[in-house]
Amino acid sequence: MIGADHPVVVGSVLFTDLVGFTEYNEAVGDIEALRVLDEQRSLVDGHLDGQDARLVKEIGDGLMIWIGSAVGALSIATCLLEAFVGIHTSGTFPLAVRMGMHHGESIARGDDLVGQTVNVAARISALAGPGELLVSQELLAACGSHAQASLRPVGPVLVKGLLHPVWLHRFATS
Amino acid sequence: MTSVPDKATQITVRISSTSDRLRVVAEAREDVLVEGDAIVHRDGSCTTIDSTGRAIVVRVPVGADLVIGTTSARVEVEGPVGQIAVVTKSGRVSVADATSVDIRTSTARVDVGRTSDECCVRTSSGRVEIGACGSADVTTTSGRIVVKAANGPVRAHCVSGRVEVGLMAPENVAAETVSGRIHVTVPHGVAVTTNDDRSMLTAWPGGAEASITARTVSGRVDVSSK
Repeated sequence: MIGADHPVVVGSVLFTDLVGFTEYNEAVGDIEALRVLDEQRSLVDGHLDGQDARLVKEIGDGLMIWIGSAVGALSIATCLLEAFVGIHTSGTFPLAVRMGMHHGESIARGDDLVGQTVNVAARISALAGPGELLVSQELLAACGSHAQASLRPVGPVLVKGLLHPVWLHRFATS
Repeated sequence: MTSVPDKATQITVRISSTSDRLRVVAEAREDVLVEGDAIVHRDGSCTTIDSTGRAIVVRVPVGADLVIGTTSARVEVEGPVGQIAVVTKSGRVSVADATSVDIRTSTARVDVGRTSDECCVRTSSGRVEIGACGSADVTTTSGRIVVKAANGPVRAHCVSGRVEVGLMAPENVAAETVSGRIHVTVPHGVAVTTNDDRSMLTAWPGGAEASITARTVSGRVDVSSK
């Protein structure tokens, strides 16, 4: 506990990003871009509903989500990715999504969360390709034997301020 | 100089390095040899190397799997290796010959000679050149990716950059760009027809067929024969 106003919370932080949203917005205009964001939000809300999870904030076309357990985070993220890939492949959603996730302590600042867990999750997200979810070794370790998803090792990412590299694993839909 | 004897069937070498230069040489040997300042830890057939010196050379057995993470180093991998994964922000990465590669970078220049299986590359704005590969899964935001000869299924995605793929076998291609350009080249003699839904069909000498699905908002996906 940092203080009553800034409690430490343990959980998983998931970042999502719509690949090429800025260029898409430029090509189709604001109204259509807004529709895409609304559709994304609706899909995500549906997956978080009733779970120990919440949307922390929207960052442009990206979302930052906090999930209370690593096992729950892996389950929600993989389901969400499959849902996004499904609607994108069928042609009803124009952009691919990419995701990155890390697990650890964050500090609450009002409704927001800050700290290295958040920074690392954002960095991981930036390394994912369209239709991919990258997760850290820390998240898998927190899952223990409950990690059910089919994951493949990707490599270590060096993050400013961290002494040791963060090892990544890739989940991609078939 | 640290020598780590290895006798296991499949050797994995995990390297994280803040060095300026990392050189990995796959050669006829059974151990993993590290030249330069590094902390080396061995766990069964897996060797983990943490390097902080200016330059490091790692000598590995032919066919070893590599997992490499750097910030902005020059990474050179010489000789035939197994699966290789590289994560780096910038710098330059060159891989001569691997079973498969998975390279993720923001701005690094990437050169891959050949892979027999999958070649997976993610870059924001770097320039990537791949000689020959099995399947290809390549993504760029605004950079340029050239796959000279793909012999397996291809998945190419770019936002505003450019992807060029030379398709050498009757395999499916899924190409997607927002405002960039994806160009697929097929060998002379392969017939290309476009369907109503903008997907394309390639008919290869011998009767094999494959599909090319193209998706774009304001960019361009085209196919030509050489």
